[in-house]
Amino acid sequence: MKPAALRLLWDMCWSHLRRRPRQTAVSIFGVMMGVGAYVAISAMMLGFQNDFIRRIIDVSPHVSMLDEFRNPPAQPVLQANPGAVVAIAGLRPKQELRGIRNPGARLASVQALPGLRAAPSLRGQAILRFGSTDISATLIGIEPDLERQVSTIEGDLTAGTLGALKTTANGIILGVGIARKLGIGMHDTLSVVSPTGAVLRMKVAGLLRTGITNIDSFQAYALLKKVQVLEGRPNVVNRINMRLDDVTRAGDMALQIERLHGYRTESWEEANEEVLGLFVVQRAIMFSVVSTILIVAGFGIFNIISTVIHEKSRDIAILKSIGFHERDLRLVFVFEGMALGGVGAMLGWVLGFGLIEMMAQVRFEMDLIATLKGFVLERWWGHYAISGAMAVATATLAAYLPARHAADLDPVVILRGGQ
Amino acid sequence: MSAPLLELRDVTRIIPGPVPVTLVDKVSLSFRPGDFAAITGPSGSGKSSLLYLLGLIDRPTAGQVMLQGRRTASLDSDALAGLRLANLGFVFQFHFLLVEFTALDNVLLPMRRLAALSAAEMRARAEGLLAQLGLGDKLNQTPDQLSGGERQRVALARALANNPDIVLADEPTGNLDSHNARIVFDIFADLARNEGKTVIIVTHEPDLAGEADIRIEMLDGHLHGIQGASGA
Repeated sequence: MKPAALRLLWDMCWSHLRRRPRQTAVSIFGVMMGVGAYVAISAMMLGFQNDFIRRIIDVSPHVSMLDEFRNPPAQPVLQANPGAVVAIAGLRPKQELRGIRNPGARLASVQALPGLRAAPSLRGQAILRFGSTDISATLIGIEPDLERQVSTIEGDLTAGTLGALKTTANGIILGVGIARKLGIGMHDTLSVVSPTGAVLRMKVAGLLRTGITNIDSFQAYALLKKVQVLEGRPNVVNRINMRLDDVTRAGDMALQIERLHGYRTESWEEANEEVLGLFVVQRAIMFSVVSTILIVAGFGIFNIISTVIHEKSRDIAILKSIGFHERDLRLVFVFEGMALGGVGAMLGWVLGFGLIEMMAQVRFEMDLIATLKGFVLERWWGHYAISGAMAVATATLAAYLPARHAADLDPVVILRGGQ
Repeated sequence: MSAPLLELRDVTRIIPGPVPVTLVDKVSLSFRPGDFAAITGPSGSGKSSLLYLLGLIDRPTAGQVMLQGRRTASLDSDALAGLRLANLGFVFQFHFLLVEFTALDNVLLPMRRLAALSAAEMRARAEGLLAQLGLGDKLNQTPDQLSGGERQRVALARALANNPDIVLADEPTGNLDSHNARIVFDIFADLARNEGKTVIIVTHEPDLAGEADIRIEMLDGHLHGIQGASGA
């Protein structure tokens, strides 16, 4: 079609919209609300999610080897008779000290992998007692020099240093949440009680704030040797934490190490899959809500274009009899949908941008799965592009259905009726 | 004698349904350049149906409609639309002008769709047509600012916009007073007699029909009689 003809179709579309300013404005408003909501909510949601993931990647190991197996080892009878039908009853697991066997060699083995640093740790439960307050916490035994290479906890210390664990007799680093609950401060001494009943007096050598509630309120760090003694598990480690130069390789690396050593080895994604899964659900819900808004806006557009087509059926008939093609008439009304969607999308972008900037000014502090000091907003152009495309696509589809009907109108029937 | 410009060969139009309705029954007609024909007959005799078939707006159930010697039955709707746009001009009882557009814009519609001329040429031609029809001072008036006769003349200018060989009109004077009806009818006569266009008018008015060169009378979908120089 020649540009002059296209311009004519656009002029016809514009004349229809201009003639119904109120209906046009309402349709545009619907699209604008959908797009504005999408842009603003996406920025907020993605901002929070990315912030949380960044914190996880910073604070937690990228890959962890655990002292467990993904599948229980096969029984000798099954190994001896592969494929046989065997029923085993009354199986009783061996009583043995849990932990990663031969940790030194395994540590050296993974440390030899390129782009990877590793540190051993022992995690156990402990009761932290200060005065009359008891708190259950995860006590993590670390080697500060190696731990420094695999996590950023040193940077998250609000008081003290990681090295202080070595220079302070029975030093312990507490999450700020624990310290607040216990009412304890730097250099105070508390009692640490292990599940075996062993008690150790430890001195606060540092306070940790990562912003992740699970860590700040439930974790404490001490020297590996101290924790091994306290837990009654000498020379045992139950984790080898690893940090990668390229975090995107965590999944592959975990698989490779697990294949090599047999122990369950988790990437940070696997370790946090519940939260990450929650994010997926969160995004799906947001997408559904915004899609619903846009679909409702689409109904508005469908309505206005159906009304125009109903009112303009005589014009359609005369245009067809003059020699306009069916696709010309389809295009006129599809243009209307696209125009409503396009203008609505652009106004929605402005609305979304405004909402984001407004939210950026809001300050509050909230402990959820991470500590927030306001909305964390991800300003990503893709949100504008996605919402714009969704709006125009919805509006175009909403217009296409009645437009197809317009193109199919039989001019003879209308001309007869019109006379 | 010149070759027929527009021809019907045994054309029948039946509306299907539980009780099929025959609108036009085995009609054969032919029109040459410069023919001025009037189709008459009582209501429901098939006059308008015949005009829609001649104008390629409707398709025959049987028979052939030939335009410039070309069979049209097998053409798709886009091809028929193309033929209508370039070769045929329509005027109806009701003006059917686009109310959002000015008189000038309405006349420009078919030209802009055909896009065979430059913008300036289209505008000059549209202004010329409107001036020729006595509407030179109404170019920028919208249809609701024009009288019935003026609207019908704008509709006529629109029908002539692409300089078609054939002009078809369905009761073009039906909504006009006798004065305006005379003006519009004279324009049609002039188009045929002085500009060599084939003009076919459906009319109820025997006086006006009597002035046409060819008078075709329809009755119950049949060709009841033809008077005049052309026809088949």
